[in-house]
Parts: sequence; structure tokens; C-alpha cells
Amino acid sequence: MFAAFIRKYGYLAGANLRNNQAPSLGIAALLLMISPMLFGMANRVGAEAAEPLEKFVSLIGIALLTPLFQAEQHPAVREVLASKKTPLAAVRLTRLFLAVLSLAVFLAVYVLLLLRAGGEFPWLPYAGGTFASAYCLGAIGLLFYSLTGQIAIGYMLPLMYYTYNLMSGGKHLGPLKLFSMSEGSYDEKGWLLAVGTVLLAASMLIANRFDGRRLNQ
Amino acid sequence: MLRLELKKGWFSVTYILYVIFLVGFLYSQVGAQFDRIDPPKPGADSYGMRSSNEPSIIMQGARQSLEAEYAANSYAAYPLGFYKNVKLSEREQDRIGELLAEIAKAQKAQDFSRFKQRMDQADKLIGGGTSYASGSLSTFGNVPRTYEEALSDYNLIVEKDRFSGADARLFSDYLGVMLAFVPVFVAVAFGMKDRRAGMKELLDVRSAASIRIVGSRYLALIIALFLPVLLLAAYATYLSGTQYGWSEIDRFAFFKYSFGWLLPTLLATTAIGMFLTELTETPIAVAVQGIGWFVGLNQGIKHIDGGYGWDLALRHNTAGNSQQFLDHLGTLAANRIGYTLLSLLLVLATAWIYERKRRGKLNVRGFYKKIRLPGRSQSAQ
Repeated sequence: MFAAFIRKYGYLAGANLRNNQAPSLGIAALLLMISPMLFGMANRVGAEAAEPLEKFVSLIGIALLTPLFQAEQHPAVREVLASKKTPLAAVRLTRLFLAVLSLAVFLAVYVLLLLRAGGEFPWLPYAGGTFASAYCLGAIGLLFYSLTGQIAIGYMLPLMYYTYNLMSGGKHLGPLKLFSMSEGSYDEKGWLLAVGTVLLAASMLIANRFDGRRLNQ
Repeated sequence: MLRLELKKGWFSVTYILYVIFLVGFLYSQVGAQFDRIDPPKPGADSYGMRSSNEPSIIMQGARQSLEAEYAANSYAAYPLGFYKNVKLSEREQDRIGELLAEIAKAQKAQDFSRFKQRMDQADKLIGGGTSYASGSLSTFGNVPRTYEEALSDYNLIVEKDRFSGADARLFSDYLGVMLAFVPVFVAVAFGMKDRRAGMKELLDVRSAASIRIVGSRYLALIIALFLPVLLLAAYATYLSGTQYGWSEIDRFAFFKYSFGWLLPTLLATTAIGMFLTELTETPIAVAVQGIGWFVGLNQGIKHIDGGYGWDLALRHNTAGNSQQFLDHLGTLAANRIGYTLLSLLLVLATAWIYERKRRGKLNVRGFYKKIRLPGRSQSAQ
């Protein structure tokens, strides 16, 4: 039974990666490739390493998480998917798992490259802190995409939140500041992870509930 | 047609979010009122800094800085506006050492031109983008401003800017940064709405010319997106009038800057959003404009207090500095005309792409299907 589960969801994950998530993975990879051109990678010491990580690399969270439910945006596609044996919620969860895993892998590779290029910084807290910012940004995007069904709004909200943080230094945002690591503080990262998780859960609930309503009409 | 497009724009969620963000951002930067510009008082501790072109000051500062970075073998560079730490090889370090000896000789002989040449060589060796490049050396020439200089700046604000002009540049600086990015979301959402609502096929068979459909849509977007800017300009004029007295200010300053400084930025951002959405039928314009905005924002820091260049979002992050504005008015005008022309070209290109699609000569979806990786996700369930 377990083998059948792994086979089924393994196949589902592979198919989703190829057909739905490949463009997001491509954009995330492209952002990471641009980063050395903008910031360079050599000899990042302490907070110098936090700058590209928080202020640029964290954007890959928006690319990976925001468009997760776009594949079934068209009602006809949703109806076909709903008629299948595997619940749509399980398909979405598989995609979410893949996106979060991809985010962790991308960040691990980038942090490793920074270290190999002569970087000296606490790699685990920095990788974790960047993950928290990227995860929360992506969760904001997915929530608003689920609410409105418009991908432009899904991208707009997290990018506006990011822009506000960049321009104002996180003024008035309290523990939800995105770039605290550059200032030597990690407390905010726990909050970002918690808020991100709540928003992702809300996105799943909203998407599944809307599907039910639309299909029962 | 224009009226229909306007109605569509004003009631969209992206537009409402755009307005909220524009107002919220300006408020977060300026507060409830612009800081009052007062005449400098004699005997104050400081009147701020100004850049001087005095070679002896520049040479002293630049040499000391290069010596310190050479000793640590850690050089700061900003090739695209972002901080980069450069570490040189032993051979390159030796060459910097030689250059430093020549730089010291040039400084002793007060030979500024030879000094600049050697500094340029050091900049190239480090990889470019350092403050040692001859065009950036002036950053080492900052000196404290005197009372007389501060008073002369203030007099320019009173006579040329009439207060509101100085505040309007700060207003344009903040809003320009936003208008170089945020409108792209509205343009993308607008472009993708017809497809989602199944309206595209209905529009395709209408007799209206493609340029008219695309032109009306662009004009509707610009009117809708520029309206909040004008309303903010009106409010800023009211604030300025009550702060300095209506007879003291230029009542049209905020509007002049809105049209001359901000509108070309809005035209370009919206045109890029429309063009890329029509071309790719994806929200890729968000990524393209976002990255361009991010790079531009950091490059603009080099002349954040004025001076301009080819930035889409022109920076002038200070109330005053009027002489800098007057000295670079030509660059500013060339920049704004350039972006306006680019916008018009992009709108024409959008209409051309739209026309080809209507005639069935361009099938973007078909192109994506061809390059799509093989696989059957649906059957997995």
C-alpha cells in the first residue's frame, strides 16, 4: 500500500514538475543566476551576506509559491480534475510540498556557493532566515491569488510588501520586517514562518472551498 | 470604446490596490506635511555637506581610501549599484601597490590629470564600479557647506522654486520610484482580463482597427493611473499653500512636475506592461519590469540628490538642491522625451502584434505547446 502511495504521488509530482511548475522553477533559477551579476558572490562576511540573500534571493519564494493553483484556473480544467479519483486538494498539497522543497534546495545551493566563494557567515541561520522571508512572501502571493483568481494580484501584493520593506526599512511592520537579518536580528524570522504557514493553510482552504462552490452550482 | 475601457480599469482590484499603495507609500515617506524649508540661521553647528571639485581635497581622500583598502585587500565596488567586495590576487595587489606609489607622486606634484589616470587604472584592475573611477572621484571631495552657501541655496528655493517647486521635486522623487514599477500590475491584469473572461475572441472579430483598440486601452490606463497622481498633486499644492502662504508659492508647480517628470515614467511602465503581456500572454512583464526597477533603483543611488542620467525613475531625494536641478535640466528633458518616444513605439508594436494575432498570423499559445516538455499530468490522477 505504501509502495503504491509513493508510486502514485511520485508520478503525480513528476508530472506536475514537468507540466505546471517548470516555468516557476525556471524563473527562480534565473533570479538566482542574475544575483551574482548584481551583487557578486566573493568574500561576503557577516551581514554583507545577508543583503543579497534577504533583498534579492528571497524573491524566489514569490516565483515558486504564488502560481501554484494556476493550472486549474479555467473552470473546465477544474471540473475535469474534480472528476478524478485523486482529490484536487491532494494534488495541490503535492505541488505545495514540491514548491517548498524546491525553495529549500535552491537556497541551500546558493548558500553553499556563497561559502565556497569565500563567504564567512553563520550559514544555517542565514539560510533559515532567507527561507522564512521567501516562504512568507510566496504565501502572501498564493493567498491573494486564491482569493481573487487573478495572478497579477497574486504577484502584486507580495511585491508591494517587499517594496515597502525595501524603501522604508520595515517601518511600522514590527516583527513582520522582511530584512531584519541584515540588522543582526533573527526574531522576526520565526514570525514570518508562522504567518507564512497560516497564510498557506488559508490559501488551501479558500481554493478548495471555492472549487466546491463553483462545481456545485 | 475609451469610456468602456475606463470603466473596466476603475473598478478593477489591481487599480484600487495601486491607488492605496501610491497614497500609503507617499504618506509613509513624507508624513502629513512636507518639512518646512526655513532660512539657515547664522552660527549653526552644521549646514550639511556639498561636493567640491577641489583637486587637493579629492586627491587626499581618494589616496587614503585606496591605501586602506589595499592594506586589507578588500575593495568596495558598486558595478550595478549594489555593493560588491573584491579581493585581488597577489599579482594584482602588487600592481595596486605600484599604482599607489605613482598616485602619491602625482599628489605631491599636484598633477590632477595624472592622478585621475592612475586612479582609473586602479578602478579597472579592481573590476570597475569603484569610487576611484575618474567620473566618481568627486565623492571624495565632499566638504561642509558654509552659512553663505546655505543662504544662497535657500534664496534659489525662494526665487526660482517658490517653495512648492522644491517640494514638488521631492514629491516626484517618491512617486517616480513607485510609478516605475506598480502600474505594470494594472497593465498586466488589464491585458489578461479579456482572455480570462473569454472576451478576446469577441474583440477580435470587431471591425475597429487594432491601433484603435490598443490605443484606447492604453489611453484609458494612462488616464486612470495618472488621475491619483494629479489628485495627490492638488493635495500637495494645498499643503504648500497653507504652509508658506498662497502668494509665496508656485500654485502649478506640483502639476508641472507631475506632467513633465512623472507622466513619462508612467507612460513607459504601462507601455512595457502592455507590450510584454500582449506578446507573451503571460505576466512576465512583472518579472522584467521588477528586475529593471530593482537595478535602476540601486543605480539611481549614485545621483540620489539630483544629477539624473537615463534612469526611468529620476531621483532628487532632497528638498532644495535647486542649482543641481537647474544645471542638469537639459539631461532631464532628454531623458523624459526619450522615455515618451519609447512608450509610443511600444504601443505601436503592441498594436502590430495584436493585429497579427487577429489575422491568425501569430499564435503564441501554439508556440508554447511546441516547446512544452512531454508528459501527461492529468492521467496521473
